[in-house]
Amino acid sequence: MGMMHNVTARLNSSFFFGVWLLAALAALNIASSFFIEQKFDVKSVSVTNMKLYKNTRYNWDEADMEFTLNADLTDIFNWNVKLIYLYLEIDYFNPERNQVIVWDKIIWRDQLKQIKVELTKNKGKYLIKTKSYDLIGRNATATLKWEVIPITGFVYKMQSESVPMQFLEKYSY
Amino acid sequence: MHALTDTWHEFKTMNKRRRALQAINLLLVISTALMTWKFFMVASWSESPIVVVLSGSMEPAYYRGDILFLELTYNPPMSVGDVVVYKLGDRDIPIVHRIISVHEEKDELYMLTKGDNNRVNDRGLYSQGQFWITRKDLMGRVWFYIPYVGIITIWLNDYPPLKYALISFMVIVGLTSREPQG
Repeated sequence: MGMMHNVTARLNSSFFFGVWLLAALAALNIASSFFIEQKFDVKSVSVTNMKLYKNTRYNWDEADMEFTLNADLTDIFNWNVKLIYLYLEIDYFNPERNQVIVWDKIIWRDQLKQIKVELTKNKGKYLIKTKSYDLIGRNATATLKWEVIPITGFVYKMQSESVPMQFLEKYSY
Repeated sequence: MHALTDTWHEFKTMNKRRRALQAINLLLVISTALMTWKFFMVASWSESPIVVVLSGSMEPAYYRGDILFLELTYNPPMSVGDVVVYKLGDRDIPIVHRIISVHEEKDELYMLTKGDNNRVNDRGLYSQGQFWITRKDLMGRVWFYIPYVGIITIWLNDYPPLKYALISFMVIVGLTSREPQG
């Protein structure tokens, strides 16, 4: 009595072999793309036309701004990159750590097109709402960052250089 | 039908020792799986080191059925842009969303989240009067991702007969498979 004439045994073997194969392919996908250098070219990031508001209902400050971006992210994409979540991050210390995303965009891979982001005087997508009245005259930095979502594998972030900026010295009414 | 009678025949022809061996084998497989899971929990500092995405609110990055590996080491510290899984108060459902603002105040970390596919942030989901989530709400941060595969667990959950069929299948195989002879 051999063991393979049993239908359940056959199903079992083929199923787990298939799973094993898929796992091996996924591992190869990850390993082969891990060491590829992902170059990027962020030509400029700047923040202008700041506005500052005092929200007395919730006791926090709110800020709005326009920003200009020029970046070429074509070389971030390799065969294991599904999409990138691109965002503009504002960091400030009061003196504790605070971070806010003021704009974001999802960019898919496109084999044929260059992935360039060029925005001039773009209105911020999200109003900065902090936790308390802590923005007046505050120094901060703006950084263009992006999270790389792979087809399968490690999820990681990359960023370009930070640009210094400052919140308004008084409220804009 | 043939498969069932074959299986039953095989099971009946095993002597007591072989049946005991099969049972021990089955227990070994189960306990190894359990050990691996517990190891994952310890290494990731998270109670749920692996989760399946249940909603479409993080599309197109993560779809229903995708598998996410989580870690709660806080190293590097939680930042905006991170995708985290969190639970609200006493509600059962874990939510997979992205952190869009972070404020450290005294010893606490306040975060605001939003699903990529949602137009507004999560304040509408938080409890009445709650404006932020904190460390105690977090289950983990995403560091590894496998697409599609988790859809099986969603099917198993939505169609209980499927779950029973699968378990029966695995028990049958576990009890009747044997090492090759000669």
